[in-house]
Amino acid sequence: MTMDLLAMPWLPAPGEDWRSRAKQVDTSNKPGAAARELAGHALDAAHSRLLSRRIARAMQSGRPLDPLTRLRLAVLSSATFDFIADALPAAGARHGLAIDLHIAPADTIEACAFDPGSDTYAHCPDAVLVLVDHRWLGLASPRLGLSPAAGVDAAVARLRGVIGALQRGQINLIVVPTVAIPPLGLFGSFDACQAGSVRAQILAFNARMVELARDVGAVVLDVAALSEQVGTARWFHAPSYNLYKLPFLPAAVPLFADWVARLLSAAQGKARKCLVLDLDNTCWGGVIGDDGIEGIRIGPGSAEGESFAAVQQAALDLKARGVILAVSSKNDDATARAPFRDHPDMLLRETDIAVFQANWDDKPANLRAIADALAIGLDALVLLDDNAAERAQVRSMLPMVAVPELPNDAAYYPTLLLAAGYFEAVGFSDEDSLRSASYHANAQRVAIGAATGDTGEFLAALGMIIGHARFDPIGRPRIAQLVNKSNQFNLTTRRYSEGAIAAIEAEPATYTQQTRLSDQFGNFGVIGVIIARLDTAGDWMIDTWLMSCRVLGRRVENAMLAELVRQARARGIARIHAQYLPTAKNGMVRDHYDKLGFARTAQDQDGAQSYVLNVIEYNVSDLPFHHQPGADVQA
Amino acid sequence: MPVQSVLETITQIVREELEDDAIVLTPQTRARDVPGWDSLAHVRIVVAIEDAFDTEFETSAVTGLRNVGDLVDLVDAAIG
Repeated sequence: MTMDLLAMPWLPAPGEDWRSRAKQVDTSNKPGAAARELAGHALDAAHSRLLSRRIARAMQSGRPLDPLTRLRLAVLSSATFDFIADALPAAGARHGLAIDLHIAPADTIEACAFDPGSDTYAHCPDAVLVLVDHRWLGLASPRLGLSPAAGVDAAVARLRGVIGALQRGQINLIVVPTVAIPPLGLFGSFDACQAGSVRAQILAFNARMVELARDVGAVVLDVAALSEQVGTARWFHAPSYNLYKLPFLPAAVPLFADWVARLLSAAQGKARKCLVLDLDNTCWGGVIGDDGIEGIRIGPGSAEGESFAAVQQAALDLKARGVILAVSSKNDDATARAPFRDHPDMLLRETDIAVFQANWDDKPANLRAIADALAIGLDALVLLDDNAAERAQVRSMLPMVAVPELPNDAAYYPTLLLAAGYFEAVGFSDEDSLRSASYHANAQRVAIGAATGDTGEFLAALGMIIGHARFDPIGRPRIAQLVNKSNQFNLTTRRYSEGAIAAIEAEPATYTQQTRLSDQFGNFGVIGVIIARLDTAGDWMIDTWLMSCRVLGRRVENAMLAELVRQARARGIARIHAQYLPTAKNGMVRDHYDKLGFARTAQDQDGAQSYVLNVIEYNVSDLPFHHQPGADVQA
Repeated sequence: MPVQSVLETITQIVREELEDDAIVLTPQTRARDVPGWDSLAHVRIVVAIEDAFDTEFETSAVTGLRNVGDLVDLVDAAIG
């Protein structure tokens, strides 16, 4: 076989009844859940369009689309976008989004971006996707004898202008593209050496684009990478451009839409967090219970062993960027652990695995146990499993778990796993690289809890050190990440891009607080965020309060409030107002403010609750923390 | 493949695209005779026909289409 990414081979093929089921999405009891399940198949353009239309219909009728999260997306494209739009809502459902789409007419990017009265802004988009190609940017022709740098400068300036206009228009999430390089070599290999070649100009532009996006807090859609993975001779399809002004091959539309959807989903904090590995014939060749530790194939010495070593290496690479690894295997525990302990060619070791489930229960039961142990949702899991029957069972019983299809040859596993985009990210912080260690430390902490049995003693035994500070540039990437990813311990679920966080940091009347925690087992880094705005009465209104679920049950919220009150008193603030805005995921903090001693002042029919705290009367209680010296003295 | 079955396949594609199972196409049918068969729908229909017959029409052939009969002839020529 060769790998055809356009067919999205990690997704199962739609079954016989797919079409008739898709036609019932908008009238089904749970349109959101039905759409997500149907979207989890390898859909071509026609299938995608059918499902997208039904999702749009369900949305128009005002039906609730949970578990999908609604996202209003406006698109500014230099080329025809209608056919891409056909596939976007379907791709969105695959990644947990109900995308409500507005498309500006082709090639009206600046007219829409610079006009505050344009339909683009009237759509009130949560995100704007700007899609331009080398033609729009003036990078379609060689610049020989002219200054190549001037062409690239002009292209960057044009896009910078659009981004600036969107930021002035209060667009929070702006997605900008890199540019695919057409396969039109002028000199051949020498194009790489000649600054004025189209190839060199676009490479230079893409490098500048990535810097620009980082500086302004925009998110990059790496169209150049996508086109490379597909192959640019295929990606660029001159007949489609000439006939219909389609920016790329029509057959690439579903995959392109998937790339957009997975990126938007990651920006909403919905990327998956944990890779669950089957063992026999997934992490090594053979069956450990039958073949024994000497008989399994892993590592150098056999082609098959090399294939599985590559799977393990891919898992380790994911772990190094913060993806949690778990094991679910039908085996006796000691048998399954033996290769991790004793096989010299295993790359994965027991310490790499946060939760190890080797038993004879079925996979769905084990996946539930893994999600529970890690305190993450089932929709954060990806299961890599060579057994088609197990895959089918998990898909049918736990449709929220992602389960990639796998070919017979394990040599393809890593490429498929990574091509599926389960672990898409819009940022990377030091905390990410330490996350797996942190989940391990958690297991040790649970052991202390079991030994002492008393919560107070347990917390004291942890030796926790807490520190509070205003937002700062060092903490900013992690703060933005928490703001965009925290779903459960999040009182208002307001999302702000890194650029928006920087802007909030600079607002003189706004109080910001980042809280760090460490204990004797490890450093969590920033785990809590508060943004409080001054209202017209001179009180504080808590715009955002969230915490990482890794530090639940440690009274961190009490410590955060104690600091907030201390800062309020220092400023002569008399009252702190707060709100709980319910979502499908934040039920755990419904009583957060009640527990902290706020008085409830209102509750509306959507379940939103309003509170107030009298700063002067609030009593700060004893808390089990040592304070990080110097961290919380900043005014 | 006999003409009738190509026409049937095209009819099925057009019905799916326009979400109207009552559509009946003849070789004489023109796009403007069918409600909803606008320029965007036309692109989707042509691309879907190319997919269905696993072929790609030449640019000049696509721009010269007058009616469904031309489309059927195009498919016939493409699939031999």
